[in-house]
Amino acid sequence: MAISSAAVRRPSLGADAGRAPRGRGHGRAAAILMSPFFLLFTAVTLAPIGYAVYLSLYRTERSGLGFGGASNVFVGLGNYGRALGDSVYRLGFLHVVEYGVIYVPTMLAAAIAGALLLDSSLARASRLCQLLYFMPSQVPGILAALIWLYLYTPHVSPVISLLTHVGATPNLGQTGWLLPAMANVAIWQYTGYNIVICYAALKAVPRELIEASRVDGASELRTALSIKLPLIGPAATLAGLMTMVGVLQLFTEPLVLNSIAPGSIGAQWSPNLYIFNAAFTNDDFATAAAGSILLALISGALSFVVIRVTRRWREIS
Amino acid sequence: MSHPRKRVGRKTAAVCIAAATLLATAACSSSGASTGGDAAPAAAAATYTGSAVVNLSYWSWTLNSQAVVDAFNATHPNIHVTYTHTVNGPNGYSKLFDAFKAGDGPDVFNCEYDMLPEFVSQGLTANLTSYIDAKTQSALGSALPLTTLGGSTWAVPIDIEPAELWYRADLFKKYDLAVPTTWAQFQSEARQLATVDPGAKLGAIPIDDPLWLAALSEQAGAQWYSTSGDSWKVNLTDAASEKVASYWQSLADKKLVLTVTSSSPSYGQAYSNGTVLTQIEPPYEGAYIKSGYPNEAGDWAVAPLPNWSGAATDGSEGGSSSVVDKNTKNLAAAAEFAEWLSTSPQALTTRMQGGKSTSLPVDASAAKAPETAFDTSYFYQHQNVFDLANAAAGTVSKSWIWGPEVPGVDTAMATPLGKVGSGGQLSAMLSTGQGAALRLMKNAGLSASAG
Repeated sequence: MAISSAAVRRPSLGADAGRAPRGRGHGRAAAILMSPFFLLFTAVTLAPIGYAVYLSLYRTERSGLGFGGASNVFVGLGNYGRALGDSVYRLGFLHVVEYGVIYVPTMLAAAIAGALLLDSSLARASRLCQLLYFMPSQVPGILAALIWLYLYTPHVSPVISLLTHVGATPNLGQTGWLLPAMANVAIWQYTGYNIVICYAALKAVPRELIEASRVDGASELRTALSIKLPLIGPAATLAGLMTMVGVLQLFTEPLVLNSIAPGSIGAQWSPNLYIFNAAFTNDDFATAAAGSILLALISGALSFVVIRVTRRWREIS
Repeated sequence: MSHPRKRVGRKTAAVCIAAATLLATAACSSSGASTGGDAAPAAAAATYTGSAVVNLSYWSWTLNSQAVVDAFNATHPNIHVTYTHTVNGPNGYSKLFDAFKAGDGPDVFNCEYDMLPEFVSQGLTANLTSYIDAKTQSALGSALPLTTLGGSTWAVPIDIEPAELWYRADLFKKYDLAVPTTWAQFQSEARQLATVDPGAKLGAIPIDDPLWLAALSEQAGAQWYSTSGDSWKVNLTDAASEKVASYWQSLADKKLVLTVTSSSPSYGQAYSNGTVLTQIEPPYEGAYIKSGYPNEAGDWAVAPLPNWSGAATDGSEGGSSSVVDKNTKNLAAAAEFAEWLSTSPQALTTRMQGGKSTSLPVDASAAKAPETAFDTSYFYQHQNVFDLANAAAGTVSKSWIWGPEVPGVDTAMATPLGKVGSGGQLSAMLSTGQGAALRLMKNAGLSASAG
């Protein structure tokens, strides 16, 4: 019955389609077509978030020696206070910000430079180069971190022995080496990806602008810096801001590099590692859930800022 | 090829000294903690006598466990055990805690000594005190203190792992060094080695393994955890631990020992190229040395851990036990299986078949056959590593226990420990651990105080 009524009411694609904007049948079809998405979204995103919120409001309490067992007690926002009150958790945010300050500008500068080089009239085999640059981003993050782990291990790594030969003494125990070393893993992995993004933006730059600058006698470098660079600004900014949000999720690199520098990269070095350690080493799901939700809120706020800023950017340009 | 040490090590199969049987009587007498049998009423042997078949689940990661379970099932018609292979380390424990949260924990599972109090203090485990009879008491006495918390026994020990000095006999000969019997001598040999070959080191501090310093502190008389009435006592910063920390700190500062993470490739490298001559590890390490450094066949030997006073004392570095779920369907059957795993010659022979493990069973007499049959050809002068291990097990302190929240404490200690060799201090690891243990226990609602 429902089907037949929907069939009857289905607006034709003819002239009156505009007159009947959205029939009931239309809505139903949309609901049916979108339901798989909402079912999955509820099952794998909303429900776990709800469960995490629930977990974050309770705490397992024991007493005395604990032999009598544990009970689950409602503690309100107590776990949030506990996470925020833990200097190790707060320090994790500082770590990822320090890391981001090194990683994001370096990677972005390299990506823009790479894209401009690819786009210059002197470039050859740009398709092949794009493919090669893009490849590291297809390596799973854990493998990239493992490869670099070996390259950072004293007595095993050719990179370390090379650096030692030229008089440097690399030591991941020192912040001066640690942060660049960790950023380097991500720079290696994602610069190529962002080169491709920036290069695509460059391809959209009207050719007549570039021709005009040549006719005016601008050198290749001058054209790149004064014409192309401002025009790919929005694309590069977007790439940069997206990367910044991703930095908050830092997990794999410190997890893997921990094994060669446990003193400087602790098991709780970044907020994500802190959460992971709370849940799967300390069996403290309450703190892990509270920490996760705080991290999600902060990431969400940052994403919001990113979207607002980039929208303004687009309006200006 | 470098062979990063398998941290999965810390646990495996099992037994103990013939001498332990003698010591067992004196075994359980400590300050505040322990005591398995003395106070308990005459315990009965753990035996399930019913005729209905009881089904039990068993989780472990140890070698040959499926074969061991098959052997048990074949000889126990009224109990059927189903074995599930798990992983060792944090992931394995995470799985166990999650299973218990879901109300689906195994009836019996394998658990390392340092993790046991976490399960016990969450109220997840069955009290086995009344199942430990005099015979079991005497067979497992050297390790029972490790599984006895607050006066009750919570697990059946399988192996005992006294710290030992594994050393390169060929390099000791080459450099004309004597195998040190005291820590003073260890230091003087280390100095002598430095004068002969500045590139070589007598030993190494694994800067990612807090358990290592725990064993050495235990040897010196420290007691990091104990119970007093209804309260946990935490004392990582006593004089004995500080003495050990400052001893190794001084060796590290003078570059007489290597500071290295045992899970990194550098560690295996240091031993496969002969840069480091000794490692302080328990019996199970023998198997890892054998498989990790095949080119050094005939070079490795083992000696008792050097001591402080001249009297042989030791600390335990790892080892595991069988724990029973408090909500198991049949406690007598589960306890019978757990005890059989540790004290049956058939269980230990099956576990040790293939000679791939050098873990030391607590019950030395039950493990006599497989230990005698062990292929010693890899070791220096065909040394039977079990003989020395059995003797060392008899000198392990009888009062050491672990406390709750050990995983969190280890995580906290890892950072200061990891800085040793690049400006950090071992004593900072102790004070950090002390603070973390008290904080984590109190956070969990447990009663805990320093002392």
